Formats: sequence, C-alpha cells, structure tokens
Amino acid sequence: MNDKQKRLIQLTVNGDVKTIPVESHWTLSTVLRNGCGHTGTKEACDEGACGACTVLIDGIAVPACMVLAVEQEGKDIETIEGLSKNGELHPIQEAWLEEYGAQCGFCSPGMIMTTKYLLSKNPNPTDDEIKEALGGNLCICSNYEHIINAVRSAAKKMSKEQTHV
Amino acid sequence: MFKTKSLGQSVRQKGGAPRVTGEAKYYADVLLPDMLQTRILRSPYPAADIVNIDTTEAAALPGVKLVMTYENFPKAFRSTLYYVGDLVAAVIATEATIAEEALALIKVEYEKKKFVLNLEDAIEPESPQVFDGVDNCHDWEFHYYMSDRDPETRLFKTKTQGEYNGFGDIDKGFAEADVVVEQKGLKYAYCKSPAMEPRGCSAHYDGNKLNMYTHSQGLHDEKLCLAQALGINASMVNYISPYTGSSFGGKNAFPLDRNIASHYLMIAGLATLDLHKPVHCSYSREEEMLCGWSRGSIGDVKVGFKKDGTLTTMDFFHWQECGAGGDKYPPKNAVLATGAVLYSRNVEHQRSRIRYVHTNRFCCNGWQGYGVPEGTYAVETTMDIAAYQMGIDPVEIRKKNCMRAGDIDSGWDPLTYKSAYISSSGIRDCLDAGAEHIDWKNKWQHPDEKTGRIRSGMGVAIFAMAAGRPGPGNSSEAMVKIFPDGTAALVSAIADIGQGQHTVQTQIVADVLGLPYDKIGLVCHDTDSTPFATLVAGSCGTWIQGWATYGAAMDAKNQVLALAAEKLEVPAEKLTLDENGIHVVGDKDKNISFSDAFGTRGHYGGIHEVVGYYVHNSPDGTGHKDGKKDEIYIPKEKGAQFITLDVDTETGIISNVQVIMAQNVGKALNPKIVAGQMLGSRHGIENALLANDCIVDKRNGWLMTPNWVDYRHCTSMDCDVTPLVVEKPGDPSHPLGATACGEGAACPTLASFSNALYNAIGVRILETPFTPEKILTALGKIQDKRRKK
Repeated sequence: MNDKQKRLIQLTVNGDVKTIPVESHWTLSTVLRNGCGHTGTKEACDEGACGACTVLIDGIAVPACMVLAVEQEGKDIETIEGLSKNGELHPIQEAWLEEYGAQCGFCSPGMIMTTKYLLSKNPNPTDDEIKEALGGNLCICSNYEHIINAVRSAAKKMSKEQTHV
Repeated sequence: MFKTKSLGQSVRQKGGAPRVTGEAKYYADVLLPDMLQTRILRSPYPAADIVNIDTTEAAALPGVKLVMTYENFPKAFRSTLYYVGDLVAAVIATEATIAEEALALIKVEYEKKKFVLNLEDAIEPESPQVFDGVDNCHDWEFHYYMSDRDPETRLFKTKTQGEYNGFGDIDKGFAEADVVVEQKGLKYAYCKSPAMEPRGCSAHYDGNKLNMYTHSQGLHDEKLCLAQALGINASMVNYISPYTGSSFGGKNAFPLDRNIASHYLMIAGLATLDLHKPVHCSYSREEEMLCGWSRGSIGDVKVGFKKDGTLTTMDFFHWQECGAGGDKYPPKNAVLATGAVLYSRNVEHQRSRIRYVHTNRFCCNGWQGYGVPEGTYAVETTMDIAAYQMGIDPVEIRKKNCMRAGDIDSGWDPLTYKSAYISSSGIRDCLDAGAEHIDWKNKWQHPDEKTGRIRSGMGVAIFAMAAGRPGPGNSSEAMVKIFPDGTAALVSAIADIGQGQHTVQTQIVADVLGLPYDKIGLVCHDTDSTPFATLVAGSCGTWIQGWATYGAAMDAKNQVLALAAEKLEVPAEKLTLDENGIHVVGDKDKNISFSDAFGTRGHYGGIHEVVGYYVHNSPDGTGHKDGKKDEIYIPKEKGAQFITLDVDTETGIISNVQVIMAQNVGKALNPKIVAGQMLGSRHGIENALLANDCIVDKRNGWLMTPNWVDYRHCTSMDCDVTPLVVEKPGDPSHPLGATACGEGAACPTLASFSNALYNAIGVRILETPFTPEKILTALGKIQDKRRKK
C-alpha cells in the first residue's frame, strides 16, 4: 500500500502533535512503535490479554493492540516514554526501581501506565484495589508482590508531592 | 577477604532505568531501515509429507523478495512434517501484509500420515511412529548403576552403564522394608514454557558481518551453533542481545537441532545472507504457543520404609513426553527428586528408570525446573501418601529423610561425574521456617476432621534442583576493566533474562574492588565485545559465572595494586583499593590516585585501562573437599514450599491460594532479587490451578488453546506468594558462599498443591491440572464424563 492509500491522522503523543499516515487495519500499538518509534509500548499477545501495550488515551488506560489507530484521530496519547521529564524519573518509575518492580522488564511499561491510571482515579488504593487494577496486566516473571509494593510506594510518593505543591 | 558493601544489599537493578522508561531495546524494538518482514506457512497436519510445493505465484507477488521451502533452503525446511505448526515455507517481503498474502498463494500438496497425540498412546508398541522406523518410547541413554561405595566417604567409585540409574539392590530393599507405599500414574500435564516476549530475531548481513539481534540465554554458544548451522565462519556473526523479555529456559536457542523451536534464527539468517537486507522474523503469540512445551510426564513411585519412617528404598519409573522432538534431556532431572539426591540421606537402594516419549504434539524445550517439577510431583505426592499411611507428620517424614550437607549426590548427571558431596542443604531449616510461618503445628488437621462446604487444606513439599555442576563443559569467563578515573566495568556475556545476573555480577565486582556499585559499568550486549559466558540455565549463573567475575575482578585489582606498589614503594600485599584510589592498609594518608598509579598516558600510549581476566573451569578453588581431586562438592538449589487453600466442595472451585516458599540460598547476594525468584512459584500454581494442559483436537492435532485467553497465566489476583529467604552460610562451592535461586520455585509447587488439596478434601487426584470437574468427580458429586479407552 503506498502512502496515497493511507489515511493521515493527527495524534498528540506525549504532548507532541503528530500527523501520521496509517492503514485502516493498523492498531495503535503498531503505529506507536513503527510510526512514532515509541517501542516502549510492548506487544506480547496482540489480543488484549496481557496489558504489555497499555497506554493512556485521553487519560484512560487501554491496551493499544485492541484499538485501531484510525479511530484515535485527535486523541491525546500518553506512552511510557512520556513519563520522565527532563531526565527525572516519574515517582512511579522511581518506585519501580526501589521495589525491584521489573525483572525482565517486558511488562513494566504496561504495568506502569496502568498504575498511572489507577493512581489518577484512586490516589490511595487498598491492596485488593491494586490487585484488581493490575488484573489485566500479566507479568510472566510472576513478580507481582514486588509490583504491588511498587504501586503502594508510588502512591505514597505522589501523595507527598501533592501535599508539597 | 574483602568487605561486602553492596553484596547482601538490594541495590537497584543494573539496566533498571531503561526498563521502566521504555528505552530498553529488546530485539523487536530495533527498527532497522528498509527491514524486510517474514511470515511462515505452517503445517495444518500433525503428520504429513509434502508431495509437491509450488511457490511461483507467491514469488511473483509485488513486494515479495524471497520464498523459502525445503527445495531452496534445505537447511531450514523439511519435506516431512511432524506436528501442527511445523515449518512448511516462509515468505520474506517488504511488508508483513504482503508476506501474508503471498502465503495464501503457495500451493502445497500433502500426503497425510497416521499420528499420535498423547503420551499413553505413544508408549504403546503398535502406536504410529512419529519418526519413521523409530519407536516413540526411548530409554534414557545414560542410565548408570553406581557401585563400589567407599565406606568412609560414602562416594561411589564405579559407574556402569545399565538399564537404570541407581545403586543397591531394589528387591532386597523392599523385602527388608517394614512398610512399602506405592503410587502409580501420577500425571503432570504437558504445559507450555511461558515467556512474556515471543521468540524471534532481526538479522542483518551487511556484506561483512551478520548482525543477529535476538533474545538469548547464552550468546556465545548460540552464535557458534548458528554459524555452524548456516555454514558460515563464526567470525562473521555478531550475536546481539542486550535485553531478553523472560525465557525460563524455554526460549533457549539451538539452531543445530531442527526440533528445537529456534527456527526464526535460520529463516532470518539464511534470508539476510541471500538478500543482504535486514530481515525481521518474530512470532505471533499464536505461533509462540506452538513452541517449547514440556512437563507431560507419568510417574510411578514405590518407597520402602522402616517402622520409624526412615526411607531405605525407592523405585521410580518416569515417562516424559518430548512432543515431536526437541530437548530430550529434562527427564533425567526427574531423578533429582529421588534417593539419588533429595532423599539421599538414608536411602540404601535406589532405582530410577527414565523414558522419553515422542508424540505428534509441539516440540519440547526444557524450562523452569527442567524435569525436576515432574519428578518432584510424583515423589513428593507419594511421600505425602506414605506420611498419612504411617501416621507421621508430613513435615517430620521429610525432615527425617531429606538430604543434608555432605550427603551424596549419586550422579543425577553421570555424564560429568560419578558421585559428589552435596555442598549444602538447609531443607530442614526451610521446613521449620515455612511451618512456623503458617503455624502448621497448631493449624494442620487431618482431612477426616474437616466438615462443612468450604474445606481448607495445608500441604508441603521439598525439592532439590541443579545449580550448576562441576566437571568438563562447565565454565565461564569474565573481564574486568579498571579505568584511571576510578570507575570499572564488567565485560561479560552473562545473560540477564530477568533473573538479575547483571545486577549480582556487577555487585561482585564492586565489592572485590572496594568501589561503589554505581561506579561499575557493564559491557554485555553482544558477542563481539565480550568473552564466553555460560548458558544461564539450571540456576547456575551465580555459581558458574560468579567465580569467573570474582576471578577477573581479583586479577584487575592485583594488577592495579602492583602498579601502585611500584609508585608508592610499598609491597602490593600491603595495599588496598577504595573509591579514592590505592592506599596502604591501615594508613589512608599513604595513597595514590588511580590516575597517578596508571602513569603517564596520551593519544599515543600509556595505560588507559587495566584489564583483568579469568576463566573459571568448574570445580574451582574450594570446590574440592580438602583439596582432594576426586572428592568434589556439588551445589543445589533447595528448599521447602507450603501451600494453603480453600476448596468449595459444591462447585469444586479452589480459592484463597497462599504459597509460602522457603529456600536456603547460602548467602543472598541481593535479597530482593532472591525473593523475586521465589515468586516464580506461580508457574506451578498456573499448572495446577488454571487448567494448563496441552489440549489438542483429537481429530486433527490442532492446539485448542493457542492464546493467553484460553491458556491462562497467573495474574495478580490468582494467589499470593510469600518468599522466605533462608541464609545458611558455609557453602564451600562458591567464593561468596552463595548457591542458587532461580528455577527452584516451580519445582515443588504441583506436589505441595496436590498435598494441600488432599488435606482439604481427603481424596487424592492423580492427574494435573486440578480442575473443578476433577475435584467434583473425586468427591463423587458428578460422574466422570471422560471417554474410557
């Protein structure tokens, strides 16, 4: 398919407005990876079963392999690459390093984006709420206890930041 | 020796920041310009010959660059197909959609053959043969009988090839036993080796070098095998693998064996050599599900005891499915659960008969536990049956009989040694720690005492897993560089597949050199820049590579001390290092900076880096007992696992699964990494609880669960795991007293789960997975609807 047969869509990705030619069947994860070079969005199952490709679309956590890019016209997309600012890690990323939240690291971007969504809705989640929120994100390393610790720690860090503002 | 500052601390993961920012480049993240895409045509039949294949139309489709079949690429493709999903052809095209379109244009004429799809049928002599002219059921080729036991050392001095592994006189053992307990038909379902990142690679031959971007557990060996399989010089290949999205052994590549699922390497490698363009070949989840299965065993166990519960005799018969080829070695590891290792304490007579069996299902790869979970399931379930039968506490029967430090490993791996001293155990401490954690003493109840709809159960199992082995073919290398600015780098190809080797090995360098952890860099990403490192499998990374890293760091340190000794005019033995440079021990004022110690340097010369190097050939250093050549220590990964759960006796649904994993790791070099490894117990939980089984359509061999919706892995909601890190210092086989922690976590899980389930409902279910249907059938609440043969 040449570029003429592709459709131009406009996305805001991590704050940058991008105009991208896409084929109608391309998923958002394909476009983020191949069209924008945001390979932090991982593809592992291609059917919404693992959450590795989770990004925020207008602030809501969505597996990017389950939505078509053409349908995201005008949407605000946030990927893992958008979290750290000016070389400073986001508190969730800091918490992940402190608590050894990543083993192989393949699920980490998706887990972290899901966590960002959870904490935006529920800044002080209980353990059961954390488990349920992460229920759609697989970690085949089985590192869940460390991941749950990281989410708890991130919640604390972010609530402190809020207090200081 | 040296002060440990970072060892023993949970320092941050080396390479952790790129993992959490998305900057880490796994193989599929390397987007090479003008990279071609691959799609594979796979066999729709479990057994067939290709009579004719016509690729004319496919090759003519615009955008198609190459169509590969057994006719033009016999190194990668065959005309005989052994399972659904076996390779028929591959198309390389400018876009994946074009390659897919071209697949549909390939015309293939198949001649279908008879096939066999399960272990029980495949064992039968009249079964269709998976490989023509060869029986499906094979005796393990390396059965050795051990004899000529030294009364003092208890080591066996003679090994003789025979019909089984073992020692003593099995018939005499049972004749003399007070109690004999036997359980047949303990079946562990054929299960998929899990990995987050599907297998694949990107290959680019640039006219000079073949750069292979992929995941890896052992870069150098995979590179050599690939070069050999491709028929090119090893010097032409650079194997690049900075990150691997988990593997657990299942993604271990071996391109020389066509039955190991590393075909992507050959397809992309041959295509890029032909086309001189980058070629990407990655598997979809559905393709990944056709690769690398294992488990799939049936075990019969018979154990003889004295009245007091002392285990004297064990007979173990083990059949293991290997699908349509692949790694046939895991079954031998099942004997680790027997009197050969785990119950070596009191056993006098041991026999283990090992068989591996081919079927027309998906090729096997060893993964987490590599045969040990299967053996442990059979033996540890039978030990539980024995405990109930004899009225002995299940914890106590294990404490009485389990291996202890200094007991004899009688050759679970007789290829490399006859018998050896188990370097450390601590299983009894792990049993105590776990039992205390769940208050076993007060809370354990016999199933007969339980009432009500919801029944709670408590189960226990112990395990011993390989942790590296001494002998030829077990080695690793490392370089350590110290720079004039007081930083250092470990140069090592040791793979970090999530298990933490990059972090732990860097910690070793930091502490040997007396430098802060964050001043130690790592060069690890490809074969061109690193010396050989051992395959990270069998939980041997810390054990085998640890010596090499330690040795290289010591070598670099000694060289720097020698340079400083000359300048300071003080003997090197009186000097030491820290982050400020080199100083006299006990007199920090008498010092010299790294830069000054290295001397003058510039564009044209001078010392720019001091390079230490070490080749660790196992056994090394203190690996021999009292320095005696024929008396070696062999390390083990070992521990105990407890599971508690609730069973709804009306629905058969199990809930509230709690796993308590206790392991003695000698010295925990990084406690959080060690704890993280223990969380891998969940892989057994999904095999037990989440209906993991290789379900194929009996009519056509198609996998019915080729995705993560139908074949489930544990989420954060399926169970909780509590890791108990037990540290018993004194393992002599490692310079830092560490042993191993990795694959072990999954080894006892099926057994402890089975034992907890029995403890809850009072009925033993012999076949995994433990589905509600099986539970209700066992309770007599529903009829067994499975068709009888």
